Parts: sequence; C-alpha cells; structure tokens
Amino acid sequence: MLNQGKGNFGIHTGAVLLDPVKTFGTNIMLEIYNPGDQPVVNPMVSVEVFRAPENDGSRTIALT
Amino acid sequence: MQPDQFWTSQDGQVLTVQAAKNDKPLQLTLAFWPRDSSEWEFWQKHHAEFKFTERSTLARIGIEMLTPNPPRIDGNRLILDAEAFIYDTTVPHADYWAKLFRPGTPVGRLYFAPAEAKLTTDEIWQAIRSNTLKLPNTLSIDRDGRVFLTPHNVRYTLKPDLDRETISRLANGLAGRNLLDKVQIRHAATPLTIDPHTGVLTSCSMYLK
Repeated sequence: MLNQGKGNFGIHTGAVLLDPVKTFGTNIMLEIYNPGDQPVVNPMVSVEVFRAPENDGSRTIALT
Repeated sequence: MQPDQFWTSQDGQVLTVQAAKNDKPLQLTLAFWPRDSSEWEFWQKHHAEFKFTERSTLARIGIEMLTPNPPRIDGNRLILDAEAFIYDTTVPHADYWAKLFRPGTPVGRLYFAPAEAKLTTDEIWQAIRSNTLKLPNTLSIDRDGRVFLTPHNVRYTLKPDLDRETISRLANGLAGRNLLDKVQIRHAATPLTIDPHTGVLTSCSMYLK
C-alpha cells in the first residue's frame, strides 16, 4: 500500500493499492502528485506491506 | 472476513455526478455493494475505518480522486463522497475528462488495513533477503515498516492523438493496463521534477508475487 501522508516527496495519487499478483516487473506505474507550491525534484515514495488474506474462493478480480 | 486481516471490496461505481464549474473538482457520489451477508455484517462494524483506492487506470490517465470522509451506510450499500480533478492538464482529454464519469462508471475499491496485518521492518527485511519479496535496490526501510523507494528517471505521457473512444474505454473499464502500455510514450527525465499542483506518471521495479 502506497502512503499518501506528509513526509513523502510529493504524494501518490488515490490509486494506492499495489496488487500482489499484478505488481511484478520492471515497469510498475506510479502516479505522483505534488500538492505543494514548490516543485519536487527526484521524488521518493513509501509503501507499507500487508499480508494478503487467505483466498477462500469467493473473490472476483477487480478492474485495474 | 476477520478484523485482523487485510480486506478489499469489489469495485464501486459512480452513483451521481455533479457537474464541475470554474475548474472546481467534480463532485461524485460512489456506491459499494457487499459480496454477501457476512461481508455486510463486517461493514456495519468497521466501515468507518475503510479507505478508498482509486482504479489505477483512472490515475494513469491523469485523474485524481480525493475522499475526505469515510464511507457511510445507505440502505444495503456504502456511500462515499469523492472529488475528482485532473492532475495533468496536458492529457488529450483535458477538455472533456469530467464527461467520462457517468452513473455506473467503475471507480476503485474500499480497503481495510489493520495494523495486525502489517509486516514489521524485520519481517520485510527477512522477506527481501529470502527473495520472497523483491523491491528496488535503492530502497530504505524505516523502523515503522515503511519502505522508501525512488522511481525510475522516466516520465510517461499519453499519445496526443488518442481519440475519445479509446479514452472512454479506459475510463469505463472496458480496457485497462494492456492498452495503456501501448499508448504511453516514455521520456527520459533526469532529474525527475514535478511542478507545483501537477503530477507525473513514472515507474519503478517491484516483485510482490
């Protein structure tokens, strides 16, 4: 999960969940928004990692 | 659903759209329905703690959505107020982006992220060392389990001649990342800069599987 809090170099947009199956590769897209009045140079983002729940077979695939 | 487990909803939809005026954000009402009765029971106890994650395709076409308040119960569903605006005014749909939102447009999911399900710094580090989790070499991890990473020195834009039909297919969920990957143009950006009140689309390497 991408953090949107202060302390980041710009904040990630509202698309904050990185799917554990689809997030695999060298081309993972990040959408970074600068809400401030000054430019951001070479932004950095932060993520927190959560355990995925057990799949009980009742879940469907969400759109991306 | 367990209150100590991470959870995500099905995709929610736009319920109502209030037209944007004078460059103000578009006011949206979003609706979410439960998968089953057990999920509904879980919602009634925990919905005030739910957060919203926007569909990544909408973010990738330059649309940002903010949800200042938690969702509320409305009959047999949850309702969430959202403000949408465009963070990259150079996109080919800058003039008509607000018209992409209609009742029924899929918007994203609600999620529940309890502290009990979050990996600690030591757990993340062990997962990286055992190759269970692969993150960029430039990462830093703080003691609160936050992983900091630097994106690639690239920015992406959409092809300027992308037609309205294609943009509409992306917005309404009929097309997604496979199409986006084909209509994006990659630009080297060293350094990568973001002007005030604007956004960039960039990338990183990550292997979560």
